[in-house]
Amino acid sequence: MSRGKLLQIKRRIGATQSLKKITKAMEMVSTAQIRKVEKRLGVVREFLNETKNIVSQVHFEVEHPFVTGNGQSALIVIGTDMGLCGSFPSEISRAAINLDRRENFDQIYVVGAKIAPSFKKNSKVARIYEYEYEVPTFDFTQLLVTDMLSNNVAKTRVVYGKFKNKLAQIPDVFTLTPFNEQKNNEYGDRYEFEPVGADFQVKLIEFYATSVLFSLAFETKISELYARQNSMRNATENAEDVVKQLTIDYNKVRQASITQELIEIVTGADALKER
Amino acid sequence: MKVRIVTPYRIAEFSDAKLVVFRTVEGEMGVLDKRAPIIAKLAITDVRIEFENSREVYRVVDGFIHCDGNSNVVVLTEEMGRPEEFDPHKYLGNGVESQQLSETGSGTVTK
Repeated sequence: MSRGKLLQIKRRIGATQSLKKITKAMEMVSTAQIRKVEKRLGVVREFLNETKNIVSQVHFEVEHPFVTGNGQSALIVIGTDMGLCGSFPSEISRAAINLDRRENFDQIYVVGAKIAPSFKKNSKVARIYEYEYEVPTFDFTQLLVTDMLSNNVAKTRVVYGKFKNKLAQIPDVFTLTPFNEQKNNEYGDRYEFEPVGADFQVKLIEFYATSVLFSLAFETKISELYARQNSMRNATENAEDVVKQLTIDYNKVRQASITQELIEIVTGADALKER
Repeated sequence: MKVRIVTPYRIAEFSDAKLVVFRTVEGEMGVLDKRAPIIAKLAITDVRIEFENSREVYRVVDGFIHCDGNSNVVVLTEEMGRPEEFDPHKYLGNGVESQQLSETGSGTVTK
């Protein structure tokens, strides 16, 4: 009986060790991805800053839904395409569902295959984008803005994964449109704009929305990678603990079986002596 | 004059530029040092940056140019690169289709 138990524990140790190897490999993969993607974060932030610089010089007077806010309200949920990153995707979808309950949006746009099942049965979902990018692209956010405009969206809120620090990534809400102009520029009046007219402002406000969405998608991607790294690290550590505990159990059972055999031998020898 | 071309994927910086030439949606224009502030919508254009003894040319796709009046020029665009790096078929419709056509040796590209 003890032989069977020994084998059983040995098999469990083997299974946990191979699981540990997988989680360790996944942790290393996400670390490598983070290194690659993080280099681009500075560029993305700079791009957004320059866009904001331009936008802050313009006094928007154009009749555009993103400026006036006359039209449908929409919620954009930026999640993840892949799982194995702890509770990160489910926290985002939960935050989005709660926000929708409070504010009752007309339309919902969902980005990410992992969070899509939470919204599949929701009748307000206008479009679900699955496996659109490995790393967010500007083309994708342009597609998103085009879809919003064709559905007459004016008021937009975005739920995304905010990158607080390496250990904490939390869902956050950003109000994208209607655009809130900051009335603090004194230099804006000195500017010339080309082309003169509404077309310039229309293109600029759409470019602004695209840039902001791009940076939010990028931030969510970085949060996802860090969340995956953390959860895989935890899984590896847990696997180590389990292996340690199982090894102790294995040794105990082995020792017990040895003691048992010794007792049997000694008892047998004693019985023979007595004869 | 300091010139920066900023895209979501990379940034190129140049200092001591004497002249920047580009095409907006209304036509070609050049920016000299200390030009009055302007924000203009760019067409798909080559941005030519002239230095004392040399020049740099980059092709940009769409976007805006921002000249702040203090010798800083920022070109904000979706994509940039050397003119020779750009595949013209990409802008003629389906880029994949044109690539397949060129691979099979058929020269015509249909939209």
